[in-house]
Amino acid sequence: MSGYWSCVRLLARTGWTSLLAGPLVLVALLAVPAGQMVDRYPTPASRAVYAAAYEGVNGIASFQGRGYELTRLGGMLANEMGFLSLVLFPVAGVLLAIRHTREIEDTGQLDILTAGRIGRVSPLAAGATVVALSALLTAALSTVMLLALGYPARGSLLYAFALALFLLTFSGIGLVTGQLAQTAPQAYGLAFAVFLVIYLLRAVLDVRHRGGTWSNPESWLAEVRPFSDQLIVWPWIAYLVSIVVLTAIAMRIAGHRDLGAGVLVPRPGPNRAPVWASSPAGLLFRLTRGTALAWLIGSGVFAFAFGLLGNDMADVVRGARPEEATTALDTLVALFAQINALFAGALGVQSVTAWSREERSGRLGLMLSTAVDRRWFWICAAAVTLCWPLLTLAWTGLLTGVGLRFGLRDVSALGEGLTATLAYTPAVLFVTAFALLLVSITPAAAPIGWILVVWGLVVVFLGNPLGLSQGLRNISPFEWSGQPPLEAWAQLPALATAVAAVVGLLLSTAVFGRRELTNG
Amino acid sequence: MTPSKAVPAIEAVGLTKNFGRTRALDGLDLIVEQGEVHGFLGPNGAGKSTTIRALLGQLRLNSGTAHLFGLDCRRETVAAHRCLAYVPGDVALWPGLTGGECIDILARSQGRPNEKRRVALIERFNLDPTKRTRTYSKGNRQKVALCAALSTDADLLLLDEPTSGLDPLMERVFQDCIIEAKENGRTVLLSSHILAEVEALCDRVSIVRLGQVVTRGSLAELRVHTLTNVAAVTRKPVPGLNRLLGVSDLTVDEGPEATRTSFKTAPETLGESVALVASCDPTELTVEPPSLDQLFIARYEATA
Repeated sequence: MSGYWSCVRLLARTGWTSLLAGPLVLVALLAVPAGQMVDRYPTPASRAVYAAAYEGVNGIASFQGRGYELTRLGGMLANEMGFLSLVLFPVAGVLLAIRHTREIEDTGQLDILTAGRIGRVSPLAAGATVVALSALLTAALSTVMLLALGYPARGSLLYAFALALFLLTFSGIGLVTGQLAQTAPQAYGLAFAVFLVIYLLRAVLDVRHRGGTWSNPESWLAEVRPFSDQLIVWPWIAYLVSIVVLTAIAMRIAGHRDLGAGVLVPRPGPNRAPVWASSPAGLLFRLTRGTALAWLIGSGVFAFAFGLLGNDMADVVRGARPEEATTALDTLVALFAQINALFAGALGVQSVTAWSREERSGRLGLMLSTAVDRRWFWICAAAVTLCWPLLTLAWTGLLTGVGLRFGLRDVSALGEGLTATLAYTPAVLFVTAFALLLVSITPAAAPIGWILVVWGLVVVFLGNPLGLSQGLRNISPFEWSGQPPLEAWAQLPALATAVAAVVGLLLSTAVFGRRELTNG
Repeated sequence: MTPSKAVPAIEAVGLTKNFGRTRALDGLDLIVEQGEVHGFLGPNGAGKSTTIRALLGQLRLNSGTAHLFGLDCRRETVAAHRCLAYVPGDVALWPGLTGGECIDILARSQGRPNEKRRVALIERFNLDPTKRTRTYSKGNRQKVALCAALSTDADLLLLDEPTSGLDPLMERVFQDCIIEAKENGRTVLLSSHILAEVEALCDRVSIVRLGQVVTRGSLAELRVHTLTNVAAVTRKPVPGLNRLLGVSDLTVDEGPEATRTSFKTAPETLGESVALVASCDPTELTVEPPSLDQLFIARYEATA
């Protein structure tokens, strides 16, 4: 373990942005429902209505996990937050762990570091340490935030630290897959596959309301019951044991493997490229399909679940807020459709961002040194980039429709989910075309493309709590053509948005055809 | 398309390119005839890679014209690219694809892939084409780009420090490939810091400094004006060398039985100085033409 502290210092100095950004994002996302709960359910009577609305409703538990102490503000928060926390904290844990271990090894930095007076496992131990510090910071900031909003001190502290241990358990999985795999992308793939299995197993347990919560780290988060009067010790022990065992396994593998290698030997790939993959469109399809398929699977699971549980969620709303009874389901379907559209828009911008890296890495320069016409290449890139978000939109719309059809046992509901989602086609086109236009000017502008998606998310999830004016909401293209089925689809704005997107695409082709490549 | 024999493979006239306040190319002229292997020399930052990017039509020049086989590099880019294959100095490949896939994609995109040559090159360069390129070393990535470029039937090879990262065995394979390419009538522009490589392969060289070609010509022409190294062991001391104007760096080590003498001489005093040495009963005599390293440094210092 010699050189451990110098590795910790180095990681903290070079990776402080992600180590700090992780906690800040997580605490911000926790703060929104925490604030909402205080505003919406100020009295014991209103909380009793909330708890009663959940009586006998099991479906939602597949998403939110089990709810306890639903008559208390803290218990209600943990219940509402389950929707996000059961996904976000594991994902953040995996990202932080692999980012600070295997990714650093991938860059070749460890070759230089371990040539000095640094022990074989020190870089891994240092990576685990900075992730633990980041998790501790998340817990500390969350506690302060909850206390500031008036949540009980003991419960806030327990809840915040349970979330941190939950995150660290998945960091442990990330540490192990980071040692098993030879490259960071492979490690991420493995860790997310493990997460998906754990998530789905918990969803099955929770929806059937069966025992066996001891078997799943995703279930332990609810079983901690931080806002209960008694302290339940076993989930804490389960978390700590898991973290220690997973870290120990990772350390043991690190101590016994070659630097730069993994335990899983990569299979040899094909010697030849298929002819279709050698054309610009084929190549770009090939390069983007992995991420796009993962996105389609992830968004598809959510879209289907939204639809399936839509009626259950509407029942809860009807029970908790009777004044919204008539519009409850339409409001939810409109929200699901908008979330589907945001998924699609995010994939569009993500594809453009990935594509901007082609130029910065020099690969685009190499490709364009061949007999491939620059404008044709751009048109192919734009077509492939647009095809994925549009496919996501249709796919998520279809799955939400299918979910609604089974949830409501009503065949006509299928079309409702699909049409409500497809109504956002112009918006998704516009967001992707905007990102393409930016990258056609310079690849360095790619991150600016995220502004529209992020603002769309802010409007959807924080619009009401932040009291955003209609003018501010209208900056988001996802607001331009109404929110069916709650509102009618505004055809003229939709057409104008689509035309603007096409103009943007044409302009981007002209700009890219004329400008210099930034890296040849 | 077979290019017309009447035009040079590369004809760049007065290339000027500014990056902000930095002038990367300052009226650079470069002519490379068809079938020639042309060395492109110069220190880091001299403008070699910028010239190659201009020839690829990737830059908008402030002034000057660049043609490949008579085709305008900027306006007829695709037609020009059909005639060439390019190897950058720092090859970036798609990390998730295998080396073999990258070779296919690049060679097919060039438009004139040659299947037989592909197989032979992969074997000669001892490359495993089934490995993902993210696991390749720099040398292996370089091999992928070389296999892709050399396996095409391109008439012109634009090589920007193509052997950086290759081991000496692979360097020899590369030199063999370039000699074969020349025998097949292909043109090569070889930008390189490895002067032994340039010396072994190139018919003519251009030396670039601060965005301009400061010297061009065949190696023999360049040597005409440079100093020759002479070293001798004689039984008697050599008189009169210090009186010859073309002789420099004279060192004399007189022993009881023999005298060691070494000096450099300009071409015009070579005969006279060697005759003086020969008249003093030599037991050893070496007359060495300047190496390209010396030639390059001499040329470089002369224009600095």
